[in-house]
Amino acid sequence: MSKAATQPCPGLPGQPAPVPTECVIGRTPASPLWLCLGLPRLPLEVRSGGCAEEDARVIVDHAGRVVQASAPAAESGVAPGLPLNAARALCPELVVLERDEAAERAALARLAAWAGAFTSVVSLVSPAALLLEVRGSLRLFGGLEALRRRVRDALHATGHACREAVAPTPLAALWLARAGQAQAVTDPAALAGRIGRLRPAVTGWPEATLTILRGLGIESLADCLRLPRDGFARRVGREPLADLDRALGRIPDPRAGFRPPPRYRGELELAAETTATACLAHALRGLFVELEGFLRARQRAVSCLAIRLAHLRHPATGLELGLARPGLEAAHFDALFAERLERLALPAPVISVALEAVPGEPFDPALAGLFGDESGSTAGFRLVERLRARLGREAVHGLCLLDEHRPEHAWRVAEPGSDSYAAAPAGERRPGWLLAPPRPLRSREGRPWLAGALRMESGPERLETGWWDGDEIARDYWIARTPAGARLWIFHELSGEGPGRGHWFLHGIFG
Amino acid sequence: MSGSLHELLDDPRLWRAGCRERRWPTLSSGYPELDALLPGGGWPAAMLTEVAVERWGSGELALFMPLLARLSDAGNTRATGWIAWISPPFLPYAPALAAAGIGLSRMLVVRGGDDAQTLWAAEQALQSGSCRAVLAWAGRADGRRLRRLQLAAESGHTPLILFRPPAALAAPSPAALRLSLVAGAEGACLRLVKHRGGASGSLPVAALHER
Repeated sequence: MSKAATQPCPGLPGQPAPVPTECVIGRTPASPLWLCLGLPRLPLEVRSGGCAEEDARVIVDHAGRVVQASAPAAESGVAPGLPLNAARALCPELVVLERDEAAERAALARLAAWAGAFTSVVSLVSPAALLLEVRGSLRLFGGLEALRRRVRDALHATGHACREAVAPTPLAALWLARAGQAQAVTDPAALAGRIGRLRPAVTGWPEATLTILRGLGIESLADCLRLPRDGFARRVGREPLADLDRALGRIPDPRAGFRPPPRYRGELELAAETTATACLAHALRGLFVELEGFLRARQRAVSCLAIRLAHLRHPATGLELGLARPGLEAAHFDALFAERLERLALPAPVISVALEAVPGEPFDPALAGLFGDESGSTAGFRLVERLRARLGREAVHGLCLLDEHRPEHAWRVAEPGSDSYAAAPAGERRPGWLLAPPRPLRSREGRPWLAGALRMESGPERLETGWWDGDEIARDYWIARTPAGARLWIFHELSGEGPGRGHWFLHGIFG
Repeated sequence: MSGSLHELLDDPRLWRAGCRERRWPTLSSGYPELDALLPGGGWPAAMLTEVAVERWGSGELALFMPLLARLSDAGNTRATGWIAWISPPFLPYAPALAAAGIGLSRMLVVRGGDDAQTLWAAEQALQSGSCRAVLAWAGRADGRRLRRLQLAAESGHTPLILFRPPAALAAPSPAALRLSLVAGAEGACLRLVKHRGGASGSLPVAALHER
């Protein structure tokens, strides 16, 4: 056995690449292809609720140095690394926000969960990049360019700026993304050439290493690759050499897969306190898109979304969006929320929004209208949701028949679309309109009266039942007509205990 | 050229004076006497029909029961499409509907708080294309709102039956058909107030009512 095979440790001086490229590729039937999504504006985005570049604002670290500046601030000359005093001097109207690394990590983790919609292999790269192995997804999404477009559009909808790159190795994809080289590299043979054009700074090597390279007069990674391996390892370090080998696929570069949390929870701080519904809808749209990816990755749907709107000096406003049928589409959530917002009275300006959802039952594509017959039914449930979002849940219902003789118990409110298991009653006529509860009628000389004496048309029909549940009735029902011609369903109370004994009640109208 | 002219003339929104022939598809009311009275032989299938009701209990529901029974398709459990009841004045009583042969699983009862919400809900129901028929009860409705509803009914291919107080008949309306149900001691009478391109007429509804 050769030394190379027993000792795959990278960068031994004078040694050629220990693992040949073909060896890495040979392990999987098709060579992997990595899509890297770099999120260069993440520090600014997590503190600005989707309006990161609208005004002059900077993110500063705890030492008071500028980490990132929005586009208007950068135009005034504010650049990363500048002390805050100097930045304020350059741009007096500057909004200064402290960096929130925990929020950045949370946002990155949420995006990783979202990216699960496109591939099963997602890996996080600190501080602000995602790596997606997309070879297996190309057919499903109709090719690399179609997939990239889908990812780009969806990411844009979440409100994040993105730099993407495609390469056969994860590290090369990451470096290309950092350098903003969007043109995909799919051929491993072309990799060395494309990597070679990059500046050493994209590697993220320590500043000391970069200084050494500058001292050697090295301008690009191609210069690094031209150096003798042993010399490079001795003078620059073994780790940079190993990185170059990983980027070129000479040694394996295993990546830890991202494991999504069991439930979705997203929070977004708004750029400024606001009551503008457009602003809130915009902020939540991003979270809805994240949620859709999260759900698609698991093939699950939700039937309820919990939204919390936080205020500065006021308890948070909580909202629940119920879906008539479990769903996962962001556009659908968006429409429901917009409907709900319209009738919402905010007690105070909102400073941040949060969305929480627990994935429920497996998503059934048939319900989403994949088959023609079901699309009508989906539209039907969408209508129920829209109406409920605006009018309230109780304002929209269906009807259901029960097997009961007491008129008020012969039906009940049901979920729209639910089937009745009782058969249609036969026999006595029933009115199309029911009054609930029955309305007392005046009587004159023992005869019921409503704008005149009522004329009895048929009856009585005696209903005496319900003794078993304490809601017993004993009534004589009549069909009667008012002098003006309206036909009514009235009853004479017979039961002894009730306050209305001997009185007449109007219970229905024959519409 | 002449083809497009015919297309234009066939547009149901175009009302040609003196032209009595049917200009819109209709749905049979289920009552032969009523079909004979209604222009085109039935209720407009994708239009606004306004019914002014003087007094609840004069047979206003009975007029539409056979139509709703047919549209709800009670025998077909997989049927889709709601029969929407928007802001009815009382509770539609399920046993009576079932006895009339209406499939209850298709019923969608919506309580809009006021007239504006009622009309909004009716428009949503029509636009969704998921309703077989929309019945709505509203007091105030301006001409612009009614026109929008009329257009929504056309685009959603859904009949809209709007129940109004009799005073509403004083205002003009884009409805294809306007009827008035006048109560009377000997039973109500249905009167055609307006319909596009036809004579008016009336019918005592007692005969329908007795069924």
